[in-house]
Amino acid sequence: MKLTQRTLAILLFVAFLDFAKASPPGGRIYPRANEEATEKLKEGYAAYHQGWYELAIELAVEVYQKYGDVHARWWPSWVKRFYRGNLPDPYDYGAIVGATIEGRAPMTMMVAGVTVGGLLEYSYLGLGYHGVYGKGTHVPSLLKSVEAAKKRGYRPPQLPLKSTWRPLPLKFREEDFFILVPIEEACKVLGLPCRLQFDQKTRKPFGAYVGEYVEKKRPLLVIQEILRRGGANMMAYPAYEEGGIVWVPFYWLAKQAGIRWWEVRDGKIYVAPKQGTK
Amino acid sequence: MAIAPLKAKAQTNDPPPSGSCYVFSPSSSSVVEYSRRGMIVWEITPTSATDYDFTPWGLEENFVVIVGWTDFMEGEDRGEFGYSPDGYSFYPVNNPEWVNAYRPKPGFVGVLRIAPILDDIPIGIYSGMPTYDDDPVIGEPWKMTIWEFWITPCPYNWRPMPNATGPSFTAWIEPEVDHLGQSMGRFIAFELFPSTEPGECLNSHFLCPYDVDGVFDGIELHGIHDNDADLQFPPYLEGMYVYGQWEEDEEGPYVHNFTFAVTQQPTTIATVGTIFCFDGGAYGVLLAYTNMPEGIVFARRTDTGLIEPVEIPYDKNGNFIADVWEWNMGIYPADALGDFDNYPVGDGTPGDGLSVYEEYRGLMVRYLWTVFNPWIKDMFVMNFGAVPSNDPNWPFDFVIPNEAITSDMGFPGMGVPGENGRGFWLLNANEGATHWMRHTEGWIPGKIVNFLCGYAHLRDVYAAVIVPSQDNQPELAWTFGPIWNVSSVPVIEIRVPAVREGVNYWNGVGYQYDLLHALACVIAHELGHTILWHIDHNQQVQDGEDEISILTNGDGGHHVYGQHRMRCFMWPYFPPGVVPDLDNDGAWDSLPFPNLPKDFCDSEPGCQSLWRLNP
Repeated sequence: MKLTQRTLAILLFVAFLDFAKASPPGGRIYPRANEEATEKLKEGYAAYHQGWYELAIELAVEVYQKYGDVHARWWPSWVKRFYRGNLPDPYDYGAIVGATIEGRAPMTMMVAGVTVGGLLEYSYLGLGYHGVYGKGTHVPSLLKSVEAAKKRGYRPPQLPLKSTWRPLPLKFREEDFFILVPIEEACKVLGLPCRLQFDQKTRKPFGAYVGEYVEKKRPLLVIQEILRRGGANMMAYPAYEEGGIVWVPFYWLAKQAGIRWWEVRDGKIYVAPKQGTK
Repeated sequence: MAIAPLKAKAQTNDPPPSGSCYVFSPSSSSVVEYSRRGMIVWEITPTSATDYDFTPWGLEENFVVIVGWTDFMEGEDRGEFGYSPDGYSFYPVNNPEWVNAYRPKPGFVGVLRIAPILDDIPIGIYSGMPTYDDDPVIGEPWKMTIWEFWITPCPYNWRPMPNATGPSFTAWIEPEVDHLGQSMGRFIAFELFPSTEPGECLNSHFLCPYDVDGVFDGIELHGIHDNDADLQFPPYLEGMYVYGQWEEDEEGPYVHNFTFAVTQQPTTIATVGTIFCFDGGAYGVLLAYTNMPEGIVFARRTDTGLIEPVEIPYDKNGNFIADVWEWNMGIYPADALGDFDNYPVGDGTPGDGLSVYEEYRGLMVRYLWTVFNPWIKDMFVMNFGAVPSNDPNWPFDFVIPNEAITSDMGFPGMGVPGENGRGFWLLNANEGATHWMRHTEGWIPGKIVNFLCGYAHLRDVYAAVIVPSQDNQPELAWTFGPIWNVSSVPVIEIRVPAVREGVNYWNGVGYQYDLLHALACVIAHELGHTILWHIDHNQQVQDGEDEISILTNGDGGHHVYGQHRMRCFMWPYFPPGVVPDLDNDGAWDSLPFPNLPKDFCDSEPGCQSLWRLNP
């Protein structure tokens, strides 16, 4: 659709009363999610990052219908495991920004958070609903856009028949709704080259390379530096070492292996066929 | 009645008139043998003069009168005899008998001889008969020393710098030998009265080199002494004793603040080879003094000719700023509290919050002491995203690379601080002090860059603080407050993963956005909010009641009217130019531009003419 400048200006005038993508100064302040909503949004957040967009949308809509466009903020379990000091209230922006700029810990990169609108926007975008772009701060408009797209006949990509998916012989654990797997085993199963670096003294792994090893390439994991680096910059849930085993989010490895669809069913990880597993 | 001489002058050998004079000080009731150059020699007192002549009646005494005075000098070197009622004012007189003062030539230094010129009245006092008429004679001279004590001024071209050596100063006494043939050498003392501005510049603590708190990995750790003397003598000066203050702390005793030095031996010349400067805005005065017979005397400056302290640096207008810097900046004489920076223009509001003195004093910019230009608006930024990234697929070494802030494809560009590479400064994290301010989200910490302020401080100046975030509130980025210290602090949260996802999304549909440029755009947008805050938070603007609101639509500083503004950093969506599917027809209402912007909009009024750095 082409717009004249004047029409565009009028549309924008209306639009800006509702939402803005890049922040207006001060930003929009959302109501805080209660415990129930926080759990659902945490699950939705993990679902989105693991590629389960429908589940993420389902959870976000459920929260939206009960509590509106709320904001959940929490300390991921990996932070609680590694950080030895007292963690502030995750909604305490001042304390968290303060810890970052005073050099105590990069807490702004450690705390996780999501809004209903943000989760919906990104999940619908993941499903190919481009019309929701920029509407995460105004859920009614976002949902209207989705309905309009459905009316026009848009359907998101269909999953391969689940009966064709196969289980992976891979143990896993779940943390904050993220599926974590031992990196060496998982790489074997997925056919990915993997190389660990071990500390000479402790014999514990402190670095991990996935894919072809390239000299001087930054390792995936530097255990000692997780906190200093703020952990989850790339991965929504960072890799960590425990008892000599490096645990890494499965969704990230699956992506490296070219796997688009996977799920956890009956205590096993199932992957859709023809997705690059060997 | 005229009295004729009894005989020819050549026919007698009787003694000529004799007499002398001395200089007496009424205040000290003693004779004066030393006088400072330029002072009136006072009070000249003739001794009783006599003249005896042989007469037919025997030896007869005559009256003697003073017919003139001499200082034994010729031409322009000659001083002037006259009358002074108090030793300070001086009046020429016609009658030599009235003379009680001598005014040497201003430049004269050395041994002075003054004497009356005497003549007799050739009539015997007792006989009343004419006596021999002697020729006028010069009386016995009074010898004294006209001395001067000099000190050199601070060199005009020197300005203070933190932890640097300063100029040398020399004080000396003239003449070297007095009228008695003795040396004029004395103990010469120097005393500094320096500033004690906190730290070594606006944002760096002063580490006292004399207070060693320990050694760590071979590196000496020094105690912080922010309020130490900014100008000091070196602890050791050749031929001098240097004194400081004794202190004691847990590491033991130490001496610091070396501000007094005195020669080890009497001398006519003493040089302080250098002074130490510990502050970029150091100022103070240096006194040199010595002991003359009349008591303690202070040195006279060689440049002004006045007996006054030497100011350091050279500072004729007394604003504690080196005159040379003021001249070089074209602001002499400046008001130290001035804040009139005018480049780039912005909305015409002058200044950046730093006073002239603070711009001159400077601050550490990534460990380098930096002095600012009082005409150029300076803006400061800190990047708390400069932590190593643990992302093997992230093309940068840091979560937020510094280039995303400093690159000319980002904020520092046309019409805003940083134009032509001037006025936009990225600081290290420790180059500001945390200060908490109230915000709707609680107490938010900001970073003040001129926290070690003292003299001529206008207001706290904040650095815009850029912090990476994982939370999707903000969805992309947000700013907590303006660059000036009103209502909140300029803290900016950038959700780096969202920027990356945005770039990936658009590149996935055919665009070719550069990730660094995209980060630079988002950061520039938020930095724009810090300096357009008055537009964003002007209620009239928000309500659409003034003309600017026609352009901004009360959207909080986002300029939305016309294509040109869509190419601006302040476009409210990312990437600039994109307008979402507002009418839900499944198509973008406007697609983003193929190239990301590199500047703020320059239309009138546009971002480039609306921003300011002072509230």
